[in-house]
Amino acid sequence: MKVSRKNSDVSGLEQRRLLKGFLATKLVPFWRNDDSPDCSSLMILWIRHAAGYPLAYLTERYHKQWSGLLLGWRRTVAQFRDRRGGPE
Amino acid sequence: MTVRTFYRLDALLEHADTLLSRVDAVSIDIFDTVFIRRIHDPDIVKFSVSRFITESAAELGINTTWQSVLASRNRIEAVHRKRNGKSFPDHEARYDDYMSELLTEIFADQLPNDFLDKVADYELNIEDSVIVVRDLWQRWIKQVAEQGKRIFLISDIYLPAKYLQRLVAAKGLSPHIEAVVSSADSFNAKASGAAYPLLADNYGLSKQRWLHIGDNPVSDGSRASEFGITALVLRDIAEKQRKGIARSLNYFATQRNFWRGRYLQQIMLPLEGENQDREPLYADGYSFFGFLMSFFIHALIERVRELGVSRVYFCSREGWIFKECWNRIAPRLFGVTNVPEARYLYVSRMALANAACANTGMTALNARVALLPAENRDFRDICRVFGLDIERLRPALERAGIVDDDWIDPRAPHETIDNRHKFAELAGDSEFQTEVRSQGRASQQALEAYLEKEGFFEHDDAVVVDVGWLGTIQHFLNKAIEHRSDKPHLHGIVLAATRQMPYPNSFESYTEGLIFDQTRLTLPSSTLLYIKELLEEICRAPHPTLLKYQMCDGDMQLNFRTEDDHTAAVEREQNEYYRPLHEGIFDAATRYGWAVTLFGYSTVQLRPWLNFLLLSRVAFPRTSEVQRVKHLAHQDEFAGRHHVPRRIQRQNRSLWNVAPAMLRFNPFIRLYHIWRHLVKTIQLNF
Repeated sequence: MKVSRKNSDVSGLEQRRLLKGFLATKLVPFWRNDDSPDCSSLMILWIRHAAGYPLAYLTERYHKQWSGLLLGWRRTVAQFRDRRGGPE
Repeated sequence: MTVRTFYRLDALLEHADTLLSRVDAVSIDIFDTVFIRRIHDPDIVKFSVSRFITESAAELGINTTWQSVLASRNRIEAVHRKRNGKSFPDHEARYDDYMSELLTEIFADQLPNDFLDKVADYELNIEDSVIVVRDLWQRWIKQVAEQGKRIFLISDIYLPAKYLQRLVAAKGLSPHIEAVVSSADSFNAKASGAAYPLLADNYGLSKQRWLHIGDNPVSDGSRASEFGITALVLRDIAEKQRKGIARSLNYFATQRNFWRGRYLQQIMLPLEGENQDREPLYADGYSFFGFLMSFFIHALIERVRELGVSRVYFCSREGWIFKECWNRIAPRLFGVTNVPEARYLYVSRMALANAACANTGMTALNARVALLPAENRDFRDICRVFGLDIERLRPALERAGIVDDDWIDPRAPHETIDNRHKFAELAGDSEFQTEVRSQGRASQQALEAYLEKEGFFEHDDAVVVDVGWLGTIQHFLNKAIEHRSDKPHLHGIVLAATRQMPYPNSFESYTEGLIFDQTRLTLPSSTLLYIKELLEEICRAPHPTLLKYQMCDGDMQLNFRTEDDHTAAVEREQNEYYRPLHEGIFDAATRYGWAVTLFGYSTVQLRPWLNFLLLSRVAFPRTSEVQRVKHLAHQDEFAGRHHVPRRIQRQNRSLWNVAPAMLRFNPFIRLYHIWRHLVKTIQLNF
């Protein structure tokens, strides 16, 4: 058994364990909110661990295409804002 | 010339092997190629260096914050880069130049001698703690060097080559590397391509027979290729994922304290060659118990700094593991200030109990302590615990009308109120108390001799550290030496303080629990009570328990338990079983020390994560974890041999004593126990 798992997770603190712990904090009375994870961060972390490798491959392999798309999107948004806020 | 890009290191090296016959020299980028960083952003190292400079300045009475030191560093570095960019192809800066300017700006005429070297050493130590050499690279470089190829490590960085060489040497690569080249020395970087001709001229390299490998598509790819070198670029997807996770956790940590602990454990992860196949107990030690012990030591360090104490004593036998963790963590966390001296003190409740009798006699409180284990019930047990000769006390017993095996324990079902009244009369008998005191005097003198040898009386304050739970050791130690005018103030620090015994806390001597304290009750940390005996077993030192202090021919002797009997054999077997767990704890402690130094987290910021960890791993453990970690046999020299009634056994049973089948197949067992624990806690406190 390795302490650092293949998806860069910690053995004994895997995402499923964190989720179970999160549910446990909801079942235990008087548990402080500060002592439990927030749902959104938990989900993002889960996605990073579970699907991070293929997502990273896609963004890296098609970096130029993604960058082009992102740039195009930003230009479109900027133009839309200009048209809305520009002088008559 | 097309630059080939690879998304896995093994694929890149496989291809590089096919090119080796055509090259004489190989140059490799250093950071994010040969070395990877545990953190996603290399600038994080600068934060801890800024804190180091700020603490050093504070020692000299210079008031500044680490944020302003960092801002000044960035500003001065930017000025240097801009200036160098006018005269050289690249906007590079040299560490020694801009850091000297920074330190002069902060310290002015108070700048200590060789302080730049100290800061550089500190930064390099931090850098060394966050970088890991990639296993495949280590093997490949060795193999290529053995083939007679010339290998160069090259980096665009502000650290001059003399510092990079230290990092390379620390990772064991130096024997195979011909030279380490940094852009900080020549201000010619790979980014503009100016580094390659310089390297070619300085080392007589032929571009046709030169292979360059790096992670940057421009500096290591295009620029090298434009110069005519064969270039390979590594864009490691697994690394990108790992850093993405670290980046997310870093962001979450800025929003919510809870995630700081999780982020810390992510940075503590062993990587590459460090991440070997281990026994499951090692992983338990690394990911849970190591964090718990390290957190305790971290809290201890914060407390010791508050108190300004210069000597810390770790009490045997559980203090052994804490001292080992202290040795790994304290030098990092104390940074600028001197680390208080840590000593291991051979003590035990039984040895101190006898010595304490010399001053206190037999009080009702002392008797209560002796009768606390469920296996103890009568005066014989009290004598055994306090090391008293019952025959010499017989006249007093006869006067009080107490027989040896009269049940004095208040839990006993057949106990009569008369026995307790008789014992109270006995305690009021001055002859009895005189005899008890005289029986404790010899070991008290031996204890004093031992403490003098340990320098215990040389300080005004002493921190005495133990696992817990009642604070008996601290109480008995205080009582045994309370007659001395040079007795230090005793600060008893324990992992968990249950406060079952109403020991007085005063300015002279007190006990406080850092993870759990009944006076500052928190539900998460109270789950430690589930695994009290387990923690004692895990923390126990690999030597027998101390039975008595005694003088022999004027010399003090420590009288330990025999190592020949069944109990000792069981303990040895237990210690051997826990060896991987201990290794995991110690490795985790080392990484914890570095990680906390890097981020500057306090225990207040890490507490939410610890609370969550305690709930997940102690109150809601996996069945396999309980079976793996649970102690095989708990030995308590305080406990007698009387049978414990089932009613009391049921009361004392925790989740970790439940049958494995119940743990595995009853879905509500954990919830039942935490609710029961909550109700019991509320009943105790309200």
